[in-house]
Amino acid sequence: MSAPVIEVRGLTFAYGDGPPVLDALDWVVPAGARVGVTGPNASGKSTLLHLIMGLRAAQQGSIILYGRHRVTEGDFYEVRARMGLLFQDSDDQLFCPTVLDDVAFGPLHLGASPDAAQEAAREALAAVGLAGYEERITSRLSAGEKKCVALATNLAMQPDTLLLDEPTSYLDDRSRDRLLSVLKELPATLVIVSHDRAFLDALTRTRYHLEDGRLR
Amino acid sequence: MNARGRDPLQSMDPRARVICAAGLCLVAALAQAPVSVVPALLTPLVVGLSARFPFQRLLWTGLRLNGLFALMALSTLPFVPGPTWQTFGPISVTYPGLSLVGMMVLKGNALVLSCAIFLSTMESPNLGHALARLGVPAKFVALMMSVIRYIDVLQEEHGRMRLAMRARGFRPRLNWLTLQTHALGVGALFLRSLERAERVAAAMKCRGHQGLYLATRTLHWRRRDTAWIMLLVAVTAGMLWLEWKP
Amino acid sequence: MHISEGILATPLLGGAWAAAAAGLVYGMRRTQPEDMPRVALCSAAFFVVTFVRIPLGPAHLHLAATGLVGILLGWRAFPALLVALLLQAVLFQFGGLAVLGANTVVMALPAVGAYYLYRRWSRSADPRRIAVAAGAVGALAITGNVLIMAAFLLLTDRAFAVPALGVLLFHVPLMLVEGVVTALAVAFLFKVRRDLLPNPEGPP
Repeated sequence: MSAPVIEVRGLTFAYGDGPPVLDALDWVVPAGARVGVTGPNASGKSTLLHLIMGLRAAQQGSIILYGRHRVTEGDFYEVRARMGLLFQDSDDQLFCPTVLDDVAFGPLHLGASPDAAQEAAREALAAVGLAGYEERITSRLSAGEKKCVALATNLAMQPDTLLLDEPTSYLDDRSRDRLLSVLKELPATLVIVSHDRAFLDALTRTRYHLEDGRLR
Repeated sequence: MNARGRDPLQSMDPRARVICAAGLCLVAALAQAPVSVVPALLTPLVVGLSARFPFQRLLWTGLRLNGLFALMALSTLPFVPGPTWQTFGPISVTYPGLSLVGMMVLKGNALVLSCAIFLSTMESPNLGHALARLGVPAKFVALMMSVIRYIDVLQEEHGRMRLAMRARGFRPRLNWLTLQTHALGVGALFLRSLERAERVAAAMKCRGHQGLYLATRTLHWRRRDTAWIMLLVAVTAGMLWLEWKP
Repeated sequence: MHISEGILATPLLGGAWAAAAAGLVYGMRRTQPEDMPRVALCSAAFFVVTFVRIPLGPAHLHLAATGLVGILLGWRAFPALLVALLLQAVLFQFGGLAVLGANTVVMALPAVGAYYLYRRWSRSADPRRIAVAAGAVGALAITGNVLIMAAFLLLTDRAFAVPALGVLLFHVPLMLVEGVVTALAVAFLFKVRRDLLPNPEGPP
């Protein structure tokens, strides 16, 4: 039995001097699981994902990913090569002017050659049904297209785990269905934060509810 | 890649565009006599005409620029000392004055045209790719690419904010409330930009960003791009000849 | 606010380019990889803000926000402003390539000054004093912008005295407007996220 992908113990986080958003939280996500997380607005769902990716530092508690304690920025480099995060706002995630640059960015920074990175980017774009979008200007895409490109930036890095933050917000039905079918085929551990019950029903078997700093 | 059609500008390598624009600007800026600015003015004009450049797009730019020059000429000409060319009532216009104004008009139009014809006709990301391949430090290019990426986003954000203000009765006028509202808009825009910057930094980290940036585009230099550079060399030679000829 | 192409003398264009390049290199050196988005987003925000018009009788003023950009970026205002001005030249033909160095110096030098003045004057936890400091800095930054612009005109040709004076007088209202806008904008940031403003006690 391999170590769980995500294991957090006593995780506590607060913004500034405010009340804790996460309060001594314990959580385990085994490898290959597909879990959904629901919870009211501002209940700390995004914060939890950001803590797991090492983008913020928790005040207390430990984060154990792939069986190892992760504390320093260096610990998380290795994690980010294997674990992807789909941001709630695609405009945050897509920071290059054209689609190809954006999708190739991850592979390049993992050490791929420019040609290999472009190849990985093209494959990832094809996988989300956006072959031929390579030279498009990112800011002129629709919300649904942006979301799929953002997903492709993750897929190009071939993650074994994917964290998704409100993946269906701002999407129309067609874009949502396309996202659904891509994720269904994906052989990765999935953690989906969403208010979209039907979307969670279609993709996940386990469901958690985050409220008052605790998961249930 | 660009659609490589028959249009001479569209088929141009972005690097050749940057070299031509920068080169023509350099030539126009260096010229010290009105006549030697002429090649740098005619070149973008002829290129624009042969590429069927939509000059009406530059109508407003041209009016603004030359209107400014007219204003500058009116306020400057009476004060340039030197041998008199003509006298209008109490005001005498001198030869050095004419030359000063003439240079301003010729150079200004040449410089703006070169930039407009060669650079504003391609998608701005290509400017970044070209600069990267021409040896501009990758860090600067990365900065420029991010700015290009987020200008549209912020413009839309600011537009939505202004719309929301107008929907609640805001009308720009010359008063304290207008000023306050503008300040609120600027503050909100910068706040959102700074907070977005934090999230973008996080997104970069997620994709393994540790400080390096690599341009991923392969550009194709073709024979006709070399021909463009030859044209630039000829224009430069023309300027130098006109400048130094006996 | 910018100088148009064709006006300034050639040696001045060259000298200003050299100064702008020096500021650019120094500013880029002080930009860590994790600061890049902040510099880029402030540059883009500056780009957007310069299109805001404030009606003034028959004409209108454009906001500049150089003081605010300077307060937020310090020396990194040089790369941020140069990129924004370059894109304005390429996309809208405001200014141009030859005069880009001069326009960068006009905008960025007072912005850097604004940063150091703000650090000196903002050692307070009182939001009103912060706003007053920011307002003074914002007004002074625009004054600096306009003075450099006028100096460039005069250095080109003494005969440009009238246009130089015109530039000064035309921008007097903008000094007041920018002062108020910078004061309120910084007060806004101070109230919501004061950690985004420079810490006067921290290293520059």
